[in-house]
Amino acid sequence: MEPTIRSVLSNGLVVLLREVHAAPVATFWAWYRVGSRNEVPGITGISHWVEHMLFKGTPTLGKGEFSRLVNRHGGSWNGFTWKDFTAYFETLPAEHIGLGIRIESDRMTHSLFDPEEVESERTVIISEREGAENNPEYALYEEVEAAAYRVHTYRHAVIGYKSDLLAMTRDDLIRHYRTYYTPNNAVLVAVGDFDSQALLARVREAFEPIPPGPKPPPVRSVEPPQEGERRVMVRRPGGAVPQLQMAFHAPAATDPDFFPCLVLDGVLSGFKGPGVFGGEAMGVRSSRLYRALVERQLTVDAGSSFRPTLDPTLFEIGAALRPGVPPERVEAAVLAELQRLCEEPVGAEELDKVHKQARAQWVYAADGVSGQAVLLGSSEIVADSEYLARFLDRLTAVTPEAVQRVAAKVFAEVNRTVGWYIPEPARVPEAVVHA
Amino acid sequence: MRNVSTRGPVVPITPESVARQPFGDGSVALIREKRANPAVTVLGYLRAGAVYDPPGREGLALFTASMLTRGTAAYASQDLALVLDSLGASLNVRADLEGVTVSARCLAEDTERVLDLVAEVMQRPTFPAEEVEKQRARIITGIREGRLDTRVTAEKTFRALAYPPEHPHHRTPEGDEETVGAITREDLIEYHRRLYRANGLILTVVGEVTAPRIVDQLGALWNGRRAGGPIAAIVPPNAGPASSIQRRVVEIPGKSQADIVLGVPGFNRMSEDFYAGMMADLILGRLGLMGRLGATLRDKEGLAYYVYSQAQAGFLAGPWAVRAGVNPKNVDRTVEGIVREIRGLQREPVRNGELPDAQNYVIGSLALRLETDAGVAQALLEIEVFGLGLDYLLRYPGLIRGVTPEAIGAAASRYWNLSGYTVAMAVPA
Repeated sequence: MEPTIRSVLSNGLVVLLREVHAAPVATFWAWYRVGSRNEVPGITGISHWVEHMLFKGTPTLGKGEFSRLVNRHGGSWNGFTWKDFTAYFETLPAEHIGLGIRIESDRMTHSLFDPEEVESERTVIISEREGAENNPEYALYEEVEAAAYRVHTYRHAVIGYKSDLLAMTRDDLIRHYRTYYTPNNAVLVAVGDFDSQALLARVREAFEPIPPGPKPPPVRSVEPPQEGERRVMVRRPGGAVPQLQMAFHAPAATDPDFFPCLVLDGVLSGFKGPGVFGGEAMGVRSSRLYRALVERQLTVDAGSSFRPTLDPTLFEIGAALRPGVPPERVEAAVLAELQRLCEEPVGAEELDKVHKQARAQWVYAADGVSGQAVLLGSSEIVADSEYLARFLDRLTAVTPEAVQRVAAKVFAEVNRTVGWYIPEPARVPEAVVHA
Repeated sequence: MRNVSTRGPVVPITPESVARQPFGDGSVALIREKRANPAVTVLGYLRAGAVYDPPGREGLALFTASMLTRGTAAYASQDLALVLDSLGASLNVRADLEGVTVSARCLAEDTERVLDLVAEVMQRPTFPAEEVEKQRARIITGIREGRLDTRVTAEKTFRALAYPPEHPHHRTPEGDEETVGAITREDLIEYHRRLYRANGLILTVVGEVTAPRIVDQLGALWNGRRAGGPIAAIVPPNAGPASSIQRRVVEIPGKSQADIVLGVPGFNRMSEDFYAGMMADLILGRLGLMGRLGATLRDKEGLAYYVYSQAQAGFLAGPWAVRAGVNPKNVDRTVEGIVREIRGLQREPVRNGELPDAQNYVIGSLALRLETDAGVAQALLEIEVFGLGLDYLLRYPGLIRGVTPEAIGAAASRYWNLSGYTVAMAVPA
C-alpha cells in the first residue's frame, strides 16, 4: 500500500492522507472516538442516533442537502456507528473532494437537532431495530454478548435497547454530540487522487478554526475475569433451525496476544483481512470448523470472528444446525476442535496457508480508496500507527507455540459463554395467508 | 508531486484499452490490464440460469451451479478447496434467474493456476453423489429459512401474484422444497451437459495481467471443445399490469417488523424505455436518501428504516418494485405513501432540479463504479452480455443527458398502473 502522511492540527485533530492515483477518485472520512462503548444504561443507542441526526442538516446546508450535493457531483456517502467509533464519508470524483471537507467541517459543530426531526428519527431507528429483531440469529447475538460481558459497555448492542430508544430526549442527544464531536476527539482520513500537501492546506483552513473541546470522559468499566461457563438460551418461533454461538473473552488490538488470536481465527474459518470489519473470508471450506461441522453434515454453515477493538473483545463462533442434528453433538464437535488447538501445535502447512491468505487479503484491501480509508481510520482509533505498518510482519512472526498458548488461554472452559437459539416448534405453524 | 503518467483514466473501458478476443467455440474474453495492484479479478457469465429449469425441477440451475466447485475430474471437493485456500484465492459459481456467474480473485502470481481452475470447474464437474446430498440439504435448509424470513416471503408472494405461472419471474430461482428434493444427480449432469457449453461464455479478466498470455492460456484450455446445438429461446408469456389491485398478506410468527413489496412488471434491458425508466426509478426511490420515497416516508414521516425502489431489467422484464420494512401498525400508511409518491412521479416527473441531479449522479459516479478491478469487470460483462459495444461508456453520458422529463413521466405512467399493481407483505403473526 502507498505511504500515509499523518499530521496533528493545533486543535488536536489527527489527519491521515494517502495518495492513490490508480483511478480519478478520492474519499474523505471523519472518524469520531465515540460508539456504543461510550454509552451507559438509559442512553444505549445514543451514538447511532446522533449519527442519524448528522444527516439532518446545519444552518448552511439544510436537511437532504449533504446527500444531494454529493450525488450531484457523482459521489456516494454514508455514515455508520460501531462499538469504538462513529464514521462519516463522501467518496467522489477526485476534483470534488473539497465537498467532503466542506460537509464534515460543517457538521462537526453545526448540526441541527430540530425537535421534529429528533422524533421522526426515533421511529426510523426503532424500525431499524425491529428489522434486526426479525432475525433469530441477531436475537441470540444480543443475548450472548450481554451474558459474556457483565461490566463492560460492549455488552449492549450498537442499536441500543428499545426502552432507551423510546425514552431518550433531544437534550440527551445534544449533550452526547457536544461531548464527543470535537476536533481533539476525531480523525480525518483522505485517500485518493490528490496532492497531499495541497489537500492538507485545505483541511487546515476548514478545520483548524474549530476550537478543541474538553477531553471526553474515559470509559471506566473494566470487564473482570470470567470464572465459569455461562449459558443463554433463546426460544421463540421465526427460525427454521437451531443456532449455536460461543463467545470467549479475547485480547484487544494492542495486546501482544492479538496476532496469535488472528491466526487462530484464520485456522478455524479462514483469514478475513486486517480491518475492523474484515474482508471477504478466504479459505473457509478447507478450514477446521467447516471440515468438522459442515463437511460432516452437522451444520449448514460454520464460522468464527475475531476483530480488532479498543478494549478486550470476544472471539466468537457460530453455526446453524442441519435439521434433525442434536444440538449437543454440534457443541461437542466445536469444543473438540478448540481442544485440539489447545493440545497440538498448528502445522507448518496450515500456518503457511493462513499467511498466504493474509498476504492476499492485504493486496485486495488496496483495491479501492474507501476500503483503505476504513483501514486507516479504524486502526488509528482501535490500535496505533504500528498496527498497519507492521501488520504482515507481526502476523507471520506468530509461532505455532504462541498459537497453542493463546488457544489454551482463550478457549478455556471458564472463559466461555454458550448461546443456543432453539426454534419453538409448537408455535411455528405454516405461514397464514390471507388477501 | 503526482506523477501524472500513472494516473488512472476517467473511463477505463474503451475499444483501445480492452483486448476483446474470441476463444473456445464461440466464447469471448475481455481483458483489461491494470497495473495498480498485484491482483486479478475474473468474472464470467453464461446464459444458463433458472429460466431453463424444467417444470417440476425448479431450482435445478442454482443447484447445478453450486455443485461445480464440489468435485471435478481432477479434484475432490475438499482438495479443490484446499488448493484455492492455500493460494488465498476465491472461486465461486452462482446462478440466478437468467445466467450463471463465475467469479474468481487471486494474487497476480497465481493467475495461470486460477484460470486453470475456472476451466476445470466449468468443464469437468463430476457431481459426486455424497456432495450432491450435502448440497441439497443446505439448499433445502435455506428454503425453509426463507419461508420464515419476512423479506424473502414478501418477495416470493409478490412474484407469484404479479406474474403468471408460466413466467420465469413468477418464482424466485432457488426452487422449493419439493422440486429441489426431486432433482436427481442425472438431472444435474444433463443440465450441465446441455447448458454449460463451449459457446456463449463471456469471460472478463481484469488486473495485473498481460493480455496476449491470457488469450493464449484460454485458447489452450477451451479450444477444441465443441459448441452444442441451439437452445430454444425462452419466450415468456405477457406480463402486463393486473386488472385490479392485488394484495396478499402472509403472517409469520416470531417477528417484529413487516416487509412490503409493491410493484408491477417493468421493462427489459433492451427496451426503449430503459434509460428513462432508470432515471424515473432513481428519482422515485434511489437518489440521495432513497429518492422521493425516502424523503417522505423515512425522513419526514419516520415510518421506515428502509424504503426504496428498484427496476430489474435483464433479458426479461423484471419487476419494478418498491420495498419497505415498517412497524406492522404502519403498513397501510406506508402503502398509501408509496402509491402517493408514484402518482406524484406520474404527474410531476421532475421537480427542483431532480433531472440534472440524477443525470450528474449517474454520469459522475461512473468513476466510482469503475474504480476497482471488480467494478471494471462487472461493467465489461454488462457491455458484452447486452452487446453494448466497447465504446458504450464513451457514449453513456450522451444517452443519459438525452433523457427528458416527458420520457420519465411516460415511463412512470406506462408501467405503474395504479389500478393494477401488486402489493405483498409478510407481517408478524
